Amino acid sequence: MKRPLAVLLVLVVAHVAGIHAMARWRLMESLLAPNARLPVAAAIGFLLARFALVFLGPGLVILAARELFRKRAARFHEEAPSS
Amino acid sequence: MTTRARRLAASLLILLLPAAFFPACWCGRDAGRWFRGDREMQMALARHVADETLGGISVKDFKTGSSLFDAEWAFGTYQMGALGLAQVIREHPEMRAELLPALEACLDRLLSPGLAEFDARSWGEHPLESLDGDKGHAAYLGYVNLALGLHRAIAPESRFRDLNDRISAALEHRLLASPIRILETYPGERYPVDNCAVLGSLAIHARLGGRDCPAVADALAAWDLYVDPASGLLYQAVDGSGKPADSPRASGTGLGAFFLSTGGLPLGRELHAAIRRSCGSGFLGFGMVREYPRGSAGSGDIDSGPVPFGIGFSATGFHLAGCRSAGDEAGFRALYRTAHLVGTPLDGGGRRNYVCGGPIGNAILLAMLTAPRP
Repeated sequence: MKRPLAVLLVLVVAHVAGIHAMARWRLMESLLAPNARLPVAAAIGFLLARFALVFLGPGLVILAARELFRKRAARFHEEAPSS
Repeated sequence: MTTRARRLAASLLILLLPAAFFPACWCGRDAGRWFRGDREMQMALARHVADETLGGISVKDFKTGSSLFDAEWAFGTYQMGALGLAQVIREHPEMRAELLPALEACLDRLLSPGLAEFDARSWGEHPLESLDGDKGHAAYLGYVNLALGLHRAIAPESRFRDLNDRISAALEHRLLASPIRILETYPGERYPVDNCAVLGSLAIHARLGGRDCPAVADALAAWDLYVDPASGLLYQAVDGSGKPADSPRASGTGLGAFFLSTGGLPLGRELHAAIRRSCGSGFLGFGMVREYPRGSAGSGDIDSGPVPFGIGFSATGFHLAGCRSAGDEAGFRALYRTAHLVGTPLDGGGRRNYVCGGPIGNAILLAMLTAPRP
């Protein structure tokens, strides 16, 4: 997990965009109606992004914080004058 | 284990560990308020449903690919909207002035020729213009009559009162005339769930009139025929002799239990207990309901929605009402988490829109989340 913050941001953007798309075009109905021709893939994609954000989001936040802390610690060591 | 492998394992642990408890807490944060009947929570969704129904939803707004299903969904949106709005008014009478116009608009739309057309086309006669006849019309008349009955309970001076009396008389007569105590929904098609709406509506009508209803008692005495003895679920469909024509399924049972509980009939709670026993499922605190009882499987259809891993979308949503009506708070909380996760609420302007539900999903959720408590 090299880029937790980037993954988190992608999920958040996909989720927010998806919520507005779902509200505007009612994509979910394509899942509930077997004969519908509405874009089922978009609805499934949104749900997957939402599930990923809800289930993995907290872990990604912790990983991103850890990454940030690690980078700052490394920078601190680099900048510290050697004795 | 190398340092790299150890780091990867630690990262995976950090990534996955919060998933065991955080999502359930986050998605269930409103569950208690819904279960207790919090006014602001109910009003936020009720206002959204009122806006959508007052704005007008027509058959053309649905694109299921089947004209019959499009019409049924438009009809279902107004019927569930009417039930939900009536239940909110019953729980919070001070909201009557704000919500009653939307409720009555739903009833007007339910009775309009456009929304009765799907039933009229199947039967070759308009359901409200043939009340003296003997054809079933179980779904249209049962669902409409249930909404009319709930409206009458909160507005006794209702302008729909006469129609409620006439539909109830027709349904009672037809039930007593049916040898198997089941009315047809469409010619040759008999669904116990639609007959639950008939029974619930007749029970409400009889209660409001302060009298017994022999047709309901008679039908309930024969009801064992339509319940699978192993699972306790209702058969989804039966044939002309009352024998099962489809499997016992949780979507029909859950909706039927809601209709019966709305009418105050104890069978509703028995069906709720059967769903919990035979179809209850869960994962990480998220409650779900299997469409088919444990040990059997099948595919989804327009009633159940998709059935991924055996879990029914509709069955899970409908069972919220069963849990609330039975006072089952733990079950309600678990199911609400799933409804919140999949439904995706969007709040704004004092309104709540479960964006994945669309108009029919919001109307159904309002009806289920505000089902009468014991």
